[in-house]
Amino acid sequence: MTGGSDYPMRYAAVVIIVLVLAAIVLPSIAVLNNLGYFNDQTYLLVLQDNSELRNTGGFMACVGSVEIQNGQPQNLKMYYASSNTYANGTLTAAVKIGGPESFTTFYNSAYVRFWDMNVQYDFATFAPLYMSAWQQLTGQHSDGVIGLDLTGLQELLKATGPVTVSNETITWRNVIDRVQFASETANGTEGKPQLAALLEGLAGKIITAAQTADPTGKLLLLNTLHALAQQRHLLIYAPSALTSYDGAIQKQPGDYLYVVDANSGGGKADLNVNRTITYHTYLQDNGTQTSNVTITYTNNCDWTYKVFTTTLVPNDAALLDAQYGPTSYHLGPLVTYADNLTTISSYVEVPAHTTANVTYEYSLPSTLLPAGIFSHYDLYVQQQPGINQYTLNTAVTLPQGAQLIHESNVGNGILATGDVQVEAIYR
Amino acid sequence: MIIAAIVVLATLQTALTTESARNELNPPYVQPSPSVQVRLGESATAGNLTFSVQNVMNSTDPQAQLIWSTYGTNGTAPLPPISGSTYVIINATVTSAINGSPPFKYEDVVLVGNDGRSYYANYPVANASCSASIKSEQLKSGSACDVYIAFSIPDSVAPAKIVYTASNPAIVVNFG
Repeated sequence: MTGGSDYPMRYAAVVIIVLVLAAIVLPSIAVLNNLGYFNDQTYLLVLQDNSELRNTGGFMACVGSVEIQNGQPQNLKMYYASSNTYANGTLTAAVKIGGPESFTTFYNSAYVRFWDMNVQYDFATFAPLYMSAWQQLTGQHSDGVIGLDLTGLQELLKATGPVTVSNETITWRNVIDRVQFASETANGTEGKPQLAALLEGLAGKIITAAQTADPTGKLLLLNTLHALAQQRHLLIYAPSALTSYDGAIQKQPGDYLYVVDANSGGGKADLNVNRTITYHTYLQDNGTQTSNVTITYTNNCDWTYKVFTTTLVPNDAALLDAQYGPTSYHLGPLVTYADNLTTISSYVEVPAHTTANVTYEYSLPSTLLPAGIFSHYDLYVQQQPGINQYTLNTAVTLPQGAQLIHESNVGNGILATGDVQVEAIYR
Repeated sequence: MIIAAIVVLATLQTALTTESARNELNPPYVQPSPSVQVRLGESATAGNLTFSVQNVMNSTDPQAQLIWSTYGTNGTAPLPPISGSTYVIINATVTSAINGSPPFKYEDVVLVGNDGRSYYANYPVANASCSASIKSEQLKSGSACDVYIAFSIPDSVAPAKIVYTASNPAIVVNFG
């Protein structure tokens, strides 16, 4: 084919390329538009202190808002969460929560303080409640919520490099300690203006660093943001734009395990507490199963760690037994139901420099997935936001006489920084 | 086409890795000018403030742990060292030459590693008679304040010097 005779082919190729690009770019434009790139959107912010773990990632250390106008962040405001500087003087702002049942039953209350309201099992459930409570307290409407924990802040500074805030150099190496120092030295100071100013300054500098970064720097930041979102150190609730970063419960067909811990008066301990989840399931001929899950806490702090822990497992699970390892004190188990899941909760105290564990044994109806002539066992282990790393041990005992065809993530000592999919196929 | 895509991705990954390593590193140390140089245990006066470093400890040192548990605000900080890093804790003494010395802030103390990089203070504690951020009116003539400051540095790096950057001239305390 020569001369003008190949024009139709070239034209077709161009059309195909344009269509492919349009397919990629147009949804991105829609997302950007929904996020406020081409109009105005207001996002609430919450810095979750994951050295004091709470259900959605950490203690709500600072709250605030930012407006996105034509793609530019503006009017960034941060407040110390446990203050009334933003809440029209309502220091003891009580928020009514509709659950989860484990929390309202254990603490015998349907009310929490505003800065303690992240008791839901996932950020996607918490965020709209937070938006509603914020609007009641401040009158400010918002379009979504962005949550970041201290580990996320640290990782962002790795990407941007050091920043200077009020003549102080903040690096990824000292940021968490600086935030803690600003928080502690301001105890008794209404509103903790030092902490709010430090975080507001930091946020502003990180935004500026991102905007002024060279293309490689921008790609690095994008890479970091994606990794942080995958590991749930960064959470974005923007229902009209994004749904994959909201930390929602990832219950899928098959077996499921989600351990959600809330530090309950155990100080800023969680970055110094190691967690191990050991899960062993015994599959029966008819597909039903009996499972053992042990959550082990190794407390490397100089004080007692206190945790209210909830394990979410598939609906219709029946608790058979609960055992508590060497521990000075425990309460539970408490079985409740939420989000079409069964939840088993306990309160455990782990004395300084000791290890304690809680073990649940429960039965499950069949969770096997269809796999032709084979049987397919699938377990999804979801990681709680705010956790940097945990050790996962898994074991799957097949029905007697079954032959293993394939397995993945079965074994001991898996160092996990995110969700883990465990699989066993047999016949 | 596929080969080109692989080359582009590999180049991108290399660029990201290199950039990542560069940003994670602390900034190179630049000698302040003017500066006064002293050794560990020696004091230097700049303006109205006298500064000395008495001791350098690892955070696992029993003395460091005792100090932290005695003077720490709630015993919870600094947090455990980052994996692959350690806390170096210095014991610095701040003394006023006359009433109304300039304020002292722990954030103005910088550790320089033997890798030639600056490490910025993480967390301080001070003895019962003063705080780690001393306002000018708090430090009377002749009175001294012991401050313990923690720095996070990589395991492979040793402390080489401490620089108090807020005075004129800056005070440089050399180790070794």
